[in-house]
Amino acid sequence: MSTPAMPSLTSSAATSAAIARARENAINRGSVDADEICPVCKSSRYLNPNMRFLVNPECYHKMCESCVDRIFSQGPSQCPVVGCDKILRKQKFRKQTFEDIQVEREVDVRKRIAKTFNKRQEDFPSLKEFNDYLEEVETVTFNLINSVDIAATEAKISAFEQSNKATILQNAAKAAQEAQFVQAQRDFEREQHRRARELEEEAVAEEKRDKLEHRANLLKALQADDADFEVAKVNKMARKKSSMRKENQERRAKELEAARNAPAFQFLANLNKPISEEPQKPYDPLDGYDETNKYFVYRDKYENPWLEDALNSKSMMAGGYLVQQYCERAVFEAFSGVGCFIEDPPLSDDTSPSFDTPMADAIAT
Amino acid sequence: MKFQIEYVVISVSTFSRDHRLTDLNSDLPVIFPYPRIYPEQYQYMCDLKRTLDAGGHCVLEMPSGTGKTVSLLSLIVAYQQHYPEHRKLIYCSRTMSEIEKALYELKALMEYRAKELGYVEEFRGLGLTSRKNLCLHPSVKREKRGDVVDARCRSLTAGFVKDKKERGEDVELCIYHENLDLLEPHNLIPPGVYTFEGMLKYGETNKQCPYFTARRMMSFCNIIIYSYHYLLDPKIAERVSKELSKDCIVVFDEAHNIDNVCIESLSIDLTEDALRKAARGCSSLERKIEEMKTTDAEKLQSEYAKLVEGLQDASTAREEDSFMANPVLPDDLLKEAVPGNIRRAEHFVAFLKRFVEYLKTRMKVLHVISETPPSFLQHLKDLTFIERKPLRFCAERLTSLMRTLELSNVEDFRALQEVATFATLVATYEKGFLLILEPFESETATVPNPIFHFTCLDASIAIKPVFDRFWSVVITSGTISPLEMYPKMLQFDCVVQESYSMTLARRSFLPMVVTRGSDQVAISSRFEIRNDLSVVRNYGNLMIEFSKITPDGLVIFFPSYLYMESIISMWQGMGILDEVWKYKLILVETPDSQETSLALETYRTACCNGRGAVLLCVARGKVSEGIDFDHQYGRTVICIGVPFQYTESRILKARLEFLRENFRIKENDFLSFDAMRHAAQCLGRVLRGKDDYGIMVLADKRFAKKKNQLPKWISQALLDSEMNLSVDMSVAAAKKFLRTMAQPFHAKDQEGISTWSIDDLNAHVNKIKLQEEEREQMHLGGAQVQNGNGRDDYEISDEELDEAMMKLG
Repeated sequence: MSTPAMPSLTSSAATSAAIARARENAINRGSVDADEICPVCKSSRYLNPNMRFLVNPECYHKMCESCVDRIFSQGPSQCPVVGCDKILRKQKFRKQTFEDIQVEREVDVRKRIAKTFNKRQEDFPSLKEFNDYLEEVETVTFNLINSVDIAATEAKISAFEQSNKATILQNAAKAAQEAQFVQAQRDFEREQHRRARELEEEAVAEEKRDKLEHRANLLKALQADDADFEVAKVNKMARKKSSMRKENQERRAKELEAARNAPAFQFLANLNKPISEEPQKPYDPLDGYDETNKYFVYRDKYENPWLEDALNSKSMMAGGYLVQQYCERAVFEAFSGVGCFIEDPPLSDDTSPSFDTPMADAIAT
Repeated sequence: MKFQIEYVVISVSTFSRDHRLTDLNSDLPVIFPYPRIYPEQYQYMCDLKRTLDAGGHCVLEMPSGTGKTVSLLSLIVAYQQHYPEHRKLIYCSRTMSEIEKALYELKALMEYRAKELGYVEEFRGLGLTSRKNLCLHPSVKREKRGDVVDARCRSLTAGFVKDKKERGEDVELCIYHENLDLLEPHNLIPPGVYTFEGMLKYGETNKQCPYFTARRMMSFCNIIIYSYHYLLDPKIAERVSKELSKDCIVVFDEAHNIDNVCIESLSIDLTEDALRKAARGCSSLERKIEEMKTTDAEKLQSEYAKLVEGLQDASTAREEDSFMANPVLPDDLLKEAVPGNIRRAEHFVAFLKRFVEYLKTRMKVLHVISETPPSFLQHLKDLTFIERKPLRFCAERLTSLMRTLELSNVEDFRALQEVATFATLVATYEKGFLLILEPFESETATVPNPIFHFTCLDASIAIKPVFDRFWSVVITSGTISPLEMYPKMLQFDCVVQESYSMTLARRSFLPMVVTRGSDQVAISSRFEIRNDLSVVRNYGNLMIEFSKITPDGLVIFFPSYLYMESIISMWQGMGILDEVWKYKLILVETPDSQETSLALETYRTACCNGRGAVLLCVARGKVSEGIDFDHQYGRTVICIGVPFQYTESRILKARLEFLRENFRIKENDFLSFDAMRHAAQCLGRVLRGKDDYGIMVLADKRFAKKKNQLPKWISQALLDSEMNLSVDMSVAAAKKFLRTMAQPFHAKDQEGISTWSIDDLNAHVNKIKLQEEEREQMHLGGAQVQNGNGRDDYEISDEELDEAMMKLG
């Protein structure tokens, strides 16, 4: 059994290796042609086909991986490109996503801008104002990208951030929720898809089975004495079956359709509701859990001759042994399961002192 | 010949036409330009009229070569002239030659009408085709490529060029186009029917541009004849067919492929090369903007101001000189203003650049990806912060920008336009589309050549505006079976759905299904056995035998180029080709259109001079669509194998899945339907009229079960005894058939059977009337009155069948 599986396994491994290799090639190919030269060490791809280029979002100067290793392994250092005085860290180096380095930079700028300027159309009374806002944002972005009055633009950004702190947070939350919703919807659709597919396959299989069965029945009927009558009977049965099957299928398909159209997730409803903000409270690590015990009251001292020695013995005390701690724990353990039985009458606080007598007895015996 | 067609009321719930006056419920006088009429032509006209009266859509299948076009035109012209509404006819056909044919037909009809009526009616019928075919400008018309002609024409005729001229700049204008402005805008050409030739002649004598004459006169025409694309391709339809009124009658002739046309018109393929060009286009746009900023900043500012107001105002100039294509935009979008972040020209160009770069990064992936538009948009947003909304406006915004920049050389920006169109489509439609990235051309290729397919899966999207807008849409073809598939796929309700049989005085075509070779081995082009020696040899034998007995032309269709090549090389090795060579020349269709037309020409010569020839071609190729093999050009057609599509194609798979999920069309049903319509199309090539004759051979085992998927006129002629033949039996049948065909046959023999004179027609009408009366009397109890053609007769319910069976037992 395992032998025929082997070649397919190895072949799949081989293909995956091939794909990986091809992908590697493509990445190389992505950064243009075969004889590209690293601007720092001047080694060319012709000699080293696996050369990879990295950029740092500080200055976007491209260099090969080995250069990055060589220069920045010892810690932050100046960019080796002539005329660039930026201090770069190795950690920040990354692979280039876009072929055009300008676009790479632009996207980084946009990432930053999008975090701050995330107002939505609902925040504006009219579409025109929203469009004006969008244009404003675009201008700011453009200034940053093309390095036009950076100081003024930065000031503008921080001013906006200051004045719209609340909305920014709110909108970020909304965006996150929306993303979640989209994900949920996609999952839901995939699930529906799968179910529909299953149904379909089932129906096809059923039909096939029925057909075979029908043929067998027909042959059997033909062998009978009054073949005509038997054949008619078999045919009728088959027709009935097929019409039943059709009905069944239709019903199921309808169900599926209904499920698809039904408001299957509350996300949709939630999405349009504004998120009501809860007032900020001091941080509570136990999330409102009440530590006090209502089943017993702990006493300072329990009469127990067994513990007398320990209470007074210096050697015990020196080790850090505390009788109180022992008693506390014993009592706690004794009552620790009490709240779990719903049928039990709830124990009120005032009855709990009476418990310590038998408790003490128990310890005494 | 003049006759009347009765007004038959059919009740249609969806279309209420209460506004129709009662006095219109009269008989319609039809003038038919020939002294004889075929019975099916009369039927066709009756059904057509019923549809028009009811105001709905219909699907009609009429055998090829039975005068479909002329009956359609004569009925609709009669209809137009009789009723005061004068509903316009838009007649769409597939190829240039078919359009031309229809124009000639219309011209003859109108001449006949004038003679019959004694006066010339006020009537205009024009055809529209590309600039390349209609250009008169001495240097432009010499260009070979269509897009070059378009570009050069635009540079001579665009609105801003004229403005420049008026400002005194030295620019060239097309004199033919300029002369149009001197004429009355609603009377550029006197009434009458013009063929393309006629248009060119008229244009030459009056020094006016035929193309723009046709374009501008479109709203003043009674009949417009043009290609599907002017109506279906949203990019063109927007500009060309916008002003057509709602009550137009739209006819799609040769419509068996209409779903594919719809799908193609909304699908876009992007290659790496296109993206590179688009990026270049972006840079040159950037430069142009810089230039304009220094010279004419005012203009950019005014465009900006317009865009702030809204898109609609900005594109009021969307006229015939708007050289850019726009995909369909919902109306509400057009009224909305362009989003603020692409309002400024430089912002927009940066936006485009970012989008192109994003697409480039997508291209680098080396495994197949298929995703829906929403997931694509999500990823796009995550990576580049491009929102959906500005993306939707992309195409429109680019048009506006290019108009502002006064770019006349559109060639450089073609790729960019494509990307913009893609952007708009992907952001507009969520359902019915799929993005597929195929990094390799074939399974075995190692060098990546990525193609990004944006495929439309739903044929109904492109055609929906047509159905929504026009009251009557007629879909007709020679081979459009099974009829119910089309309403399902294109999502419309039809009033009449009819397939006509062919009335023949003699059995003039012989369809056969050959399932076995002479050695009784089953023959099939099924993938597993298609290269088996016995199958190949049997197919070869079939060809040899038929090339021996067929007079003149023999046409053989294969399912694909690949299979044709492999089987031909195997035949060469077996010496089969040498054997055929003794009887016929062998010619082969290739994907190259020039080679193919040369082969066709040679084939025709060989058929005419008696040498005879075999044409080997492909069922989905150029030859199978639109080239007729009438009379001696095709006496036998052999369809080797069922012409299924290449089922491993990812696009096809996606479409099948879509069809199954949304329209509940099973994969196999669709594949089989698609294969059979192509097979029928191939078969229909040989028979182009009632005096023609031919043999149709379907050579595959699997055809035996597909009889009911053939068009009615073929399946009726296909006898049960000829459903399961071996090669030698089919040869014997063919020999016998050819011998009967060789008997003298006079036109007189057809009289009253397959051709009717006016007396026959009247007799028929009376007979129908009598029958109807009788039936009415019989059904006086209140049962439904059936229409005279009794097409519901063989619908027997299960119960009835059961009972019949039980009685038998």
